[in-house]
Amino acid sequence: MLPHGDSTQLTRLLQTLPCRVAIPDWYLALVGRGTNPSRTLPDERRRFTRFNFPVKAVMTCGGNLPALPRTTEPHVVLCKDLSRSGICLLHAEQLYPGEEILLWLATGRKKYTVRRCRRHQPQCFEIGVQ
Amino acid sequence: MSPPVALDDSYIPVAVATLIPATATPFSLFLRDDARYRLFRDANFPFDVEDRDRLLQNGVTRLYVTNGNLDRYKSYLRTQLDGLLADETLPPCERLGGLNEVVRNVLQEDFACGDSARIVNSAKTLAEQTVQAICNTDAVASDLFSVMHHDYQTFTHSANVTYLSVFLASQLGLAVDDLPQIAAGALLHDLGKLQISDRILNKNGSLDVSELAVIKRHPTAGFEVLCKRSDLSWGQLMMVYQHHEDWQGGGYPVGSVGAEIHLWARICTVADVFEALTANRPYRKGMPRSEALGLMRGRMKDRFEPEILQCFHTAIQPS
Repeated sequence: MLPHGDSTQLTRLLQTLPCRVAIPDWYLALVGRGTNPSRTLPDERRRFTRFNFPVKAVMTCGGNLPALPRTTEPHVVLCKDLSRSGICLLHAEQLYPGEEILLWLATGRKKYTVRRCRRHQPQCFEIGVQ
Repeated sequence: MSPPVALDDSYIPVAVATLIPATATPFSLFLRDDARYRLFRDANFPFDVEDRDRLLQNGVTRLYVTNGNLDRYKSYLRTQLDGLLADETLPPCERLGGLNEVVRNVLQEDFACGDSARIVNSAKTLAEQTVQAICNTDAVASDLFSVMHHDYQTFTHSANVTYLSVFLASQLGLAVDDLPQIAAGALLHDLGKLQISDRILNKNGSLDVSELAVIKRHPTAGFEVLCKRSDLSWGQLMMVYQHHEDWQGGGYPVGSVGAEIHLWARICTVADVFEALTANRPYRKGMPRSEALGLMRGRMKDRFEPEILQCFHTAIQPS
């Protein structure tokens, strides 16, 4: 768990920052089942089991792609599921493979690299990070 | 003339247009006469304007070099290319022909070695020369089509997509300064295919689900290889990443729509699809250009930005 100060700061950010993700109905249904991790449907292409994990998090972009300037402002993103190897997020903007992000969850802050991105609808991109 | 030489498979055709008059070629040149090769010019013996004109007047557009001299020919070609492109006595199609031989040779070698840094460096050099050949010679679409090869090799496809992309971008009125970048981006657009086995790329039959997934990963794979470089622009990277996105959505890897797709990628998409339809594949012969255009304006129209497709259609219509 985070040190108390860090946890308080995350809570404050989640309360003050707007969440600009256009939330799809299926995500609301996922939230309706509770925010405790639950196993997703089996997928033989996956190496590790995924667990539904519908919680809010704060993300900042690392700005590590030379041709793509990024600001360091924090964004509220929605976690969809997680596995041993990575997390799937919903974000209002597209992110690109190879981009580094810092993800801030109740369990702590961790750096990830974007692996894939798929558009669901305007202001809703599903992003897989590892 | 020397005595006839027996026919065998160790002779490689080279376009007469790629031989610079008044230069001595560091390799022997052969004429093909029915089923035999005859020595035309010995190595280091000057090839002059009269030689070239006489050959072209007789309908001879190709001479031959021995397989053992192929590397010398390629090296000669690269050294002479600037002179060839600057020779205003040559018609555009001959200058484009010379460029095409160099582009294909360089890409073939670079793609075979698989070194992305080497490919990027070559792409930047070839991009300037491509723009010079297409834009400074008043080349028209028929000149482009006359030099394009139609095999299914990735390097041939990349070269053709580059000529079509630069031609289309120029017709759309894009800034001249952008054209070399667009050319380099187009040369690199299928870089991710280097990670796909020839077994899948050249499969003579429909692809199964997992093979299709491998194919669909190539824009992402190419982007991942190039995205950390500081010498490529965002537009060039988007040509690699977004050239399979569709204007109305439903493409890959992201499913972006409309203006979310970079303009250069939208241009590359039109060139890429047209080239893919008109090229010969292991499993089918290439379509005639009119049929390919008809398909793109009909069943496939949702894939393209309408204005770009219309401009392409107008630009490649026979005058």
